[in-house]
Amino acid sequence: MHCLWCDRPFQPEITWRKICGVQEFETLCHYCRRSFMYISGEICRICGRMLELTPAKYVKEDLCLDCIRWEQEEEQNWNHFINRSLFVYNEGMQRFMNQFKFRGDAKLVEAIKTEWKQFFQTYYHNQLVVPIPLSKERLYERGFNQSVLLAQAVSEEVHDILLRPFHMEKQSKKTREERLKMSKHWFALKKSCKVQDKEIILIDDIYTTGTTVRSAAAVLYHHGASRVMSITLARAI
Amino acid sequence: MKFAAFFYQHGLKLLHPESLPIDQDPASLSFASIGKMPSFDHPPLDLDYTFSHSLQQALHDKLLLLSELPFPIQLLHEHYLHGYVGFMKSVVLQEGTYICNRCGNHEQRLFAQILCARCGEECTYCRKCVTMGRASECTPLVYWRGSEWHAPISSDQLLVWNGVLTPEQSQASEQVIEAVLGRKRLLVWAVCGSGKTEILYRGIEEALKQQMRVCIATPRTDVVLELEPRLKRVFPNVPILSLYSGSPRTELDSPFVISTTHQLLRYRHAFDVVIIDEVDAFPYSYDNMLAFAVNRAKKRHASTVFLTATPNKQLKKEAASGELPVVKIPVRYHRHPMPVPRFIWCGNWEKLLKKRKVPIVVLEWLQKRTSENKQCLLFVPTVDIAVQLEEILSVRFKVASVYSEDPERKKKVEQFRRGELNMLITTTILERGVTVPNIDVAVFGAEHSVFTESALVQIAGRVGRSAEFPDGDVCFFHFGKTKAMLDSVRHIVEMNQYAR
Repeated sequence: MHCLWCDRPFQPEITWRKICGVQEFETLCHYCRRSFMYISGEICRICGRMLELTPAKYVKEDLCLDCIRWEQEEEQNWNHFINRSLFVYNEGMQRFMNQFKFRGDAKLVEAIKTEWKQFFQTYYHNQLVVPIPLSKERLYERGFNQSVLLAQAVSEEVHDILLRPFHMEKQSKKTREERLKMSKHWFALKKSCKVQDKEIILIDDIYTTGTTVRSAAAVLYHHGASRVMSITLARAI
Repeated sequence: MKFAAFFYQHGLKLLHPESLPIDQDPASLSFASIGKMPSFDHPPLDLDYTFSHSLQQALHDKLLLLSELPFPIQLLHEHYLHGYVGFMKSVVLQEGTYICNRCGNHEQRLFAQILCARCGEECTYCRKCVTMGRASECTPLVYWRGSEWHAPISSDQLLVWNGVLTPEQSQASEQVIEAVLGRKRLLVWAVCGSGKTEILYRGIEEALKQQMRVCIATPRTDVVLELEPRLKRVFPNVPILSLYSGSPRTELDSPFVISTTHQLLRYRHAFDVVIIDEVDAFPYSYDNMLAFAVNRAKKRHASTVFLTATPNKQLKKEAASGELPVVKIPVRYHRHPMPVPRFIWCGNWEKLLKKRKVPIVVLEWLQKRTSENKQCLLFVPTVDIAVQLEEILSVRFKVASVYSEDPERKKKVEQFRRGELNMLITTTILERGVTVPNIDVAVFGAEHSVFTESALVQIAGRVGRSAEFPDGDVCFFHFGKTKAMLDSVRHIVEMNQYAR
């Protein structure tokens, strides 16, 4: 076998469960797998951040200060919005994202598919699965939407019902303040799409400040969604 | 981006991009991804056309993906219609197998499909060269078909160097000049520390004087980073361009390029002289890609100089049969023999590492260097081990570790070179090109399969490189000798004997 990421040959561990098809064979070599870190232990009740890695001064009981700030924003009614992420956005995950998203190696989604699907299943009970969209320009530039691929990896039915009307600078190059300021009108619901009284899972690649998924959630709540949560592949430390 | 192929009045089958308006009835045109359409033609060069000089400078000698070019498609199309710009399919399906024309990949597992937002179809892309931007069925490669352009060199004084070559170096240097001017091939087989780089100076100077374009290609970024300052010092009036992943983007074009294999993929029929440094050092399967890249990057009649301390089987065979002229330099420029590695058995170091311990013999070796205040490199088989060792050793020593993905790699190596750091743990990335005057070297877990004969010879070659300090210790800590370890020692002993 060749590692799906680094292409080095490796010997996957052979077990009866894998031979019988109960469990999937690994697609990544030992070294590449080790560069990921699962979120584990105590997490922020709202954003799913790993509290162990969060400096103590930013933690209050089971919440992080970012989330406390979010919940205090008066105009928003967050209706128990929560986020959960599978991996810590560590250096290894950054390299993975760089190859997958920025270089455009879409195939890499298969490298994390098994764990990602399992993770998704723990939160899934027939909600609508909605990927975070890209602007038209960004979609053309990249050739694919990584969030759609991540959504398709876990669900047969993907509801691509959001629009991102404006083309903006890459998120990853912005500060928190800049992001917050511009987030109000990032997303819109596509015409003739209804979310009244629906429960929704938003899918995105990375949760950094939460602005992206929260502004998408705000639009959905505005159109009558009953409950929105987001699941992202990685959560910034 | 889709193109339509249609018949033009001169009987040529020409391309038309989907996004541009056209006089013909759109219904009569069929648009398709460039990789999926039948062959197409290029119009003859229209000498009366006023072409864009900025496009010429960006594109001449190059082969770029459409998405890499910061020019509107309209401009490119116009130049295509006047014969100045060529389009080439990047990923194509030929008789049931995919081929990437950018990197030469035909390993089917390294192709993948996406539902592409650019062409709206299932689109195959090449995973092998995806780090250089995605080459796919709907993305054409673009090249320049107009007149050549030479980056000017303003000075007559090219080489500024007062060093003296040893008789062996001189002889090799003459042969390099001959190969360069005669556009021939040459293998320079020189032991580590024989002053390979100096051998090139005069040949490069001659080539540049003749308005030739010169490229030094190497598989490793570290070698580029090591060569760049040295060459800039001796060619102060030449705007040397060095290319590696993450190198500063520049509009500068130069007749003298130092490049990694990957970056060379962006060139086509560009160089009169290609010097391949550390030719055998290709990580994993990249040798095919390098051969492909070099072949396309050089002009039809170009000279190729292979430079290595440890030629691979293929090169040795060609040299032995007389097909490839060879010049050997078995002796270091300071005429001292290469230090011969010692083997020290260190027990089951993997088991010890799990208990966060390091074999005593290794600790003693490191302790001795520390008390003598001597710099040392500790080579380890994998990144994991490098990181673990750094953690364990940093309790007792001032130590850092580097590996290829290390974001601070450049900085740490620089600190080590300047002598601000005494102990560096490294994976095999530093086995070549790193020159520090007075160091000792150890290999931790020398029996590991990454340490091939040539890797071990290269590692041993880090030691005793300066005339002031021609000696040093090379120590292989192992848990069982391998053939590669024994072969590397034989290799060094033989070269030392040949030198006498």
